[in-house]
Amino acid sequence: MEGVPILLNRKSFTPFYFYTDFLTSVAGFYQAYPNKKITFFLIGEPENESFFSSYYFDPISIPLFLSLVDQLSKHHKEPLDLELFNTNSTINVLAFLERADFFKLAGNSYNFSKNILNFNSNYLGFYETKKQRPEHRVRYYSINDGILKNIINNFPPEQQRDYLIEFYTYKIRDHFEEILKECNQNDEVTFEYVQILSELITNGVLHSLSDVYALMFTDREKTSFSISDNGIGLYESLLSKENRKVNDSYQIFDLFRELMNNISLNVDEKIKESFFSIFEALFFSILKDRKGLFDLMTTVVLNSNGYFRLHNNNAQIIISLRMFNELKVLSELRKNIFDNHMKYLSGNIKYDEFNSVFLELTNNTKIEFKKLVTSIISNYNIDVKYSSIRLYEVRFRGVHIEVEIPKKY
Amino acid sequence: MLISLIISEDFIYANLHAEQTISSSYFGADIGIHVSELFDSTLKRLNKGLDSIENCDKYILYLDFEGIENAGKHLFDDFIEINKKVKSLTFINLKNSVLKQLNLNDDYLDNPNNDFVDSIDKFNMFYFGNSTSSVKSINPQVEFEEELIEFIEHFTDELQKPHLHESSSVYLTSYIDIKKMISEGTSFFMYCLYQLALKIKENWDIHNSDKPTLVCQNLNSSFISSILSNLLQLDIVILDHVGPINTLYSTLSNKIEKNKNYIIVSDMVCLGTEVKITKNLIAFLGGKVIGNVSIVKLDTYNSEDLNRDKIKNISVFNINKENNAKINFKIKTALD
Repeated sequence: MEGVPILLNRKSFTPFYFYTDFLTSVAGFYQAYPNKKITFFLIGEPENESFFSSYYFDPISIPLFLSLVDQLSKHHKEPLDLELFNTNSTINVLAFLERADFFKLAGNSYNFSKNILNFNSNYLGFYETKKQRPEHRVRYYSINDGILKNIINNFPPEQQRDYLIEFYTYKIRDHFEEILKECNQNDEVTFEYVQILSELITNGVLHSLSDVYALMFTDREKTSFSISDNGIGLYESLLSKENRKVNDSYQIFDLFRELMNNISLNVDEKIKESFFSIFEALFFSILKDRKGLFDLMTTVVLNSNGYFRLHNNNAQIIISLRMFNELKVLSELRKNIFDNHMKYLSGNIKYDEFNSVFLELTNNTKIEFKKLVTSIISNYNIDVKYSSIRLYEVRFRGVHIEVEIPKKY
Repeated sequence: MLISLIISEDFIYANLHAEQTISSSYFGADIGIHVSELFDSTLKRLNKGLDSIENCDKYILYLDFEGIENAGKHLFDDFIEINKKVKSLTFINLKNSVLKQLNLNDDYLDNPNNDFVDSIDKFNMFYFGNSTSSVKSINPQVEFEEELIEFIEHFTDELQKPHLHESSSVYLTSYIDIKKMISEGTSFFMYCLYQLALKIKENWDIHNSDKPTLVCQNLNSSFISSILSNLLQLDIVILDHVGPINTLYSTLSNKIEKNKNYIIVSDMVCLGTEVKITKNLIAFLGGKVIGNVSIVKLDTYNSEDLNRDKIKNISVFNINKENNAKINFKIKTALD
């Protein structure tokens, strides 16, 4: 039985660890044993040596892990095996995962179970302690839920989005009620959180053509969201809109092509494709007459002082206040673009005026985006470790977003 | 279906929170009147609803934001569409924080007629569009009550011959047909139930762990209770045939839980006999009746004696000395 351990002694299973170490180990396994099915071991140490070890499963990594398992089990067309251990040192982790509904969701005992993991449920139960919070449940959302797909197929694309956002707002209020109360924020902030999560889930189910795992997590310092899909990724998703003309200055993939041709980045084409399509998606979003991904990001980073991590297949970008200056310029431009749309929509300006302003703003925004990418890459070339981007040889399929918002005191 | 629409001589009134409550039920949301955010689904319904109003562009439209705490992101284009269909558009009871979420630009923020109240951070009147001219202010509660009294009048039949009351030993001269209200005036009846739900929320704690259960005791009340249970997210228990035709079943005991709070739901409370029967039944089985709610209640006591009732009575409309002239409801006995 060959496989890869999930938890190692004194190594927290954080998203960072997941992307940098764990994914590499999983990829290493498939290189060594291309025809075998991977087994996950809850811990890396032999059971008898693990007595005094300490293990920690970061809640916001749960959607990432489940999303990966989901992909692999689809590949093998059967559930993967997870070897559990129930020792003094794993008891907290097991208790936490069970209370987070991890086993319910991944196993096959309930009608909502995904049946992507096999494990011996005799190891579960009889926990004496409960150190991690029981309210941090992982949820799974699918466009194939009930009659949802039939309903939204009757709407034009933008209305599909609006419908899903409202639909998921109610779901999230219901699913994460305890956590939202716990956030101890006023009604507006709570609503902001609900909106963020429902928009991310909507983007996930709508564009990825796959299911979405989500979790909301709160502790004394911060509130985090983790949303993970294993769908087609941003590049493929944009391909479906290829050649769509937004205005005379921009049609989809213009920025992408310019970045591909003009910016030197010495990595594999696939990685470049993942990386630059993130910016194409943001650029497309900034020009729209509706609030979307870009606005969500600025809300998180500029208004709430949080950070926003977006992983797309092989590339990842972490947006935080460290990019304050670039973001500030872009968000000013965004405000002008949006205002221009609204003015036109309300009939206060004529098309010609709208269009000339729009073209100018589009060009300026494109220039700013290119500046942003250039500065990010030059930082990356100086210091990989502290760069706000990460590029991976190993592809982790889909779009995975983690958002962290600090609490104000 | 728009439930809160009140069409007057020169204006149309709609309550956005009431409409959002209905929209949320289309999404299968378990939220009822606890919903506090406005979404475009409601505005789209409203927009569509305006099409069925003749000469819609002659009316001023008042949109009441009472109860709306947050607004979704894409409402502007719906307001633009709605604005095009009416003479002018005015928001009332609009919170400043909600206005910010609407993302209006400068062309909409500086109407000199806007009536903003600093102390509550709220607009009494907010005109959509800087050049929109001023309109009279309206009081939603007064408008609702006026519409309600006409509604009740419309569904009240004056009887040729006084008819025998089924559960109390008196004669009645008119009959308020709640069944007809439900089937022919469904949308406004729903708005009445929405108003009743708000009153229940105001008067009793429906959030804590021992939240009350609604008790229905006849066919009309079962319709009313099922809607209220949806709006308030409360459980229901059905005690059928307490009235008007009183038949008791022997299986009641397993329906009522000891020490649990109950609210009795009636369609119409005339002399309160059915309420008393139900109250005693529940009390006998160990439950606690904390109140009675109804669509219409007769205030047969003088105002100074109204608090004689041991439980709280809440209704959408009370027929009393002052307003009975219009409805002309009389209770008679053979002794008159």
